[in-house]
Amino acid sequence: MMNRTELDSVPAAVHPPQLSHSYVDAMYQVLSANGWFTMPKYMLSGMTASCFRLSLHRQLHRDSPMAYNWMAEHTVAADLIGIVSAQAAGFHFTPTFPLYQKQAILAIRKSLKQGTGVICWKDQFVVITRSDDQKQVFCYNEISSRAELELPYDQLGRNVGPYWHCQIFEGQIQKDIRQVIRESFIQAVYKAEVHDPMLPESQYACGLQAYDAMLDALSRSTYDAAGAYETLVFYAASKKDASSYTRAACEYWPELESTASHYERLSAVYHEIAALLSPDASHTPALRQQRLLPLIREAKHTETEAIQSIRLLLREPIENRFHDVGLR
Amino acid sequence: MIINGIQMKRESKSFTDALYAVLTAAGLFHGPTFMLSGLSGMAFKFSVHEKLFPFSVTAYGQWGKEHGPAIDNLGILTGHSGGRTRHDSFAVYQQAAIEDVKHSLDRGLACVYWIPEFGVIHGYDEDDRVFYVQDGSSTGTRYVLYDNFGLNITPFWYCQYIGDKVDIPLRDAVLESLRLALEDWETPYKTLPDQSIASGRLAYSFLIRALQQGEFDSSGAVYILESYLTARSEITSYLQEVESVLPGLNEVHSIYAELEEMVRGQLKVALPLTNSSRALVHQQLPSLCTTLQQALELEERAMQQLRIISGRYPDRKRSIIPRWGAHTAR
Repeated sequence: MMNRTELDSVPAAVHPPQLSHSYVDAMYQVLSANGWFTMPKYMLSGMTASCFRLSLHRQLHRDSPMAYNWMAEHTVAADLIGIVSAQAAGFHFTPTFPLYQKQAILAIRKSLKQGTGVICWKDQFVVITRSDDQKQVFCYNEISSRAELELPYDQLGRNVGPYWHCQIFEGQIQKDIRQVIRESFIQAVYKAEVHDPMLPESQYACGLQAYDAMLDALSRSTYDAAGAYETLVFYAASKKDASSYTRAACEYWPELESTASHYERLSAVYHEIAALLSPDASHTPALRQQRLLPLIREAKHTETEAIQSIRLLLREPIENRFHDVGLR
Repeated sequence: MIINGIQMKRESKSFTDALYAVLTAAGLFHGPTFMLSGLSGMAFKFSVHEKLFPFSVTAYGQWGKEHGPAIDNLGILTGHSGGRTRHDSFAVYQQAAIEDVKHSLDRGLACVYWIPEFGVIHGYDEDDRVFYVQDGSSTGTRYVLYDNFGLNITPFWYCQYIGDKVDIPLRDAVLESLRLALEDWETPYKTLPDQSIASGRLAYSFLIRALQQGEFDSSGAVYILESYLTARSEITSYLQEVESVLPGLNEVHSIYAELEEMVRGQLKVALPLTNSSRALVHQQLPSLCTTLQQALELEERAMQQLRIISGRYPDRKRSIIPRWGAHTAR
């Protein structure tokens, strides 16, 4: 189901990379299964504004694509498309975790009984699809392999990494698609211009600012090569979604034409960037390295133009929000 | 359905008072208000709008992000509902919250509710479709129609639920409360991108600057100063109670005791009680500002000491970047 054909030109790695699957992949699986979302996945990626997110560790660590405020962003993502949701998250090593785990198990079983899968973090986003009270296990789908695996109730949230997180979709309200599209582009401006306050600025950069961090890391060659590969391949997929979404959105709102052209160009640039990278630094010869930097600069320029075109198109609603473009 | 034996009383910040009423009625907290205020870290929250509007006192951050860790440090499960009432989804979330509140009350647990300020929902009548609400300033009960749940003079609505409890060793809870205090002290803005409200150390600067420049809301100034003094008094009592739990805490207690005494003396003159209410004496502003400047220096010293104490023990929570927490309103 993943749309990552642009990887074909990347040389095979010694250790095949574990590509991060996004929250939207999991959300799409849940919402398309129960008929709450019937459009292609790139439309979900765009309407929730997820494909417009760009957060980056300054050494390009592989956690970059997942380094954002899940609670805040996933609440907004669902709300933008009229999905009512409830979620919880935390460190599983805290003393209160067992209380939250108990509550989450009840809530997940309830949602499953109503026929709606649940997004959970199991060191990656997965979808819990069934529960078996007799065996005291949940069944979940790995997005990458689509394999169905078992998760004992008492292991819910007890991940290798420190985080646990669940989101339950409880219902849907009707939204006018033109309004949804309009808001998604305003949120794109927010994501491009506002640093995620959860992330220390000394370690992470967000939105358009991420490009300078990228250029800095790549030109110093002090970055995590495997992380850079995974991160940029992930964002290449995001930009591809942004491009397909904006093109499709033109049908509802033809004035998006120039924005769509910018995102098409941006996606093409990222395609080239991804093709130059390799998960292993020794597979990225200096020559390729030199070709990377101008491409990143071009991506920065193109994305800046895309955001400017949105600002121009949505000048009044954006200015009505004064200094707080993200606050609806 | 009504929970008996619950009576919110305004003494502290309204959230703390509401939480205190809810928890003591449920048998989930025993002890004086200052202990709840201290252990939850609520006493250390200090926020000031540049014009000293009265809402400064409750503008200490995005509430979910502030109240979650506060209640977590008491070992108590919590959740909240809230948002902007203008959003399309409000009606659906409002209905869900109404059911959640009723469900909570059926289990004997009252809820904290934004009136404003924070109050307590302690009962409901399904036939009349109303909630019973206490605001802590009078002993009477107010009524909120289900249909009006969440609607108020502010653009947002908020409701906090509580649940089961685990025991957290006192030393661990005290240590975490100090770390919550440090976070509040060191974070300049908690409602970004808005920079008209400052937190912690910077809140002092906002308060002093407004008092010096003279362009401020006078009732807000009184409220901020009263609440500020109450909080310092709570912190002093709290530290006195727990100072033996961690080495070095007795010094912090001494600093706060000195600070409280100094501020209390100054406010007696600058905010005299006339006809059971307080008003700012403008001739006292320069000396008030001097006192606040000294208080800032004392509190900075206390925080330095807290940082040293905190540094002696591992802090796993703060050595990992979370996936929740600080965010802007959307």
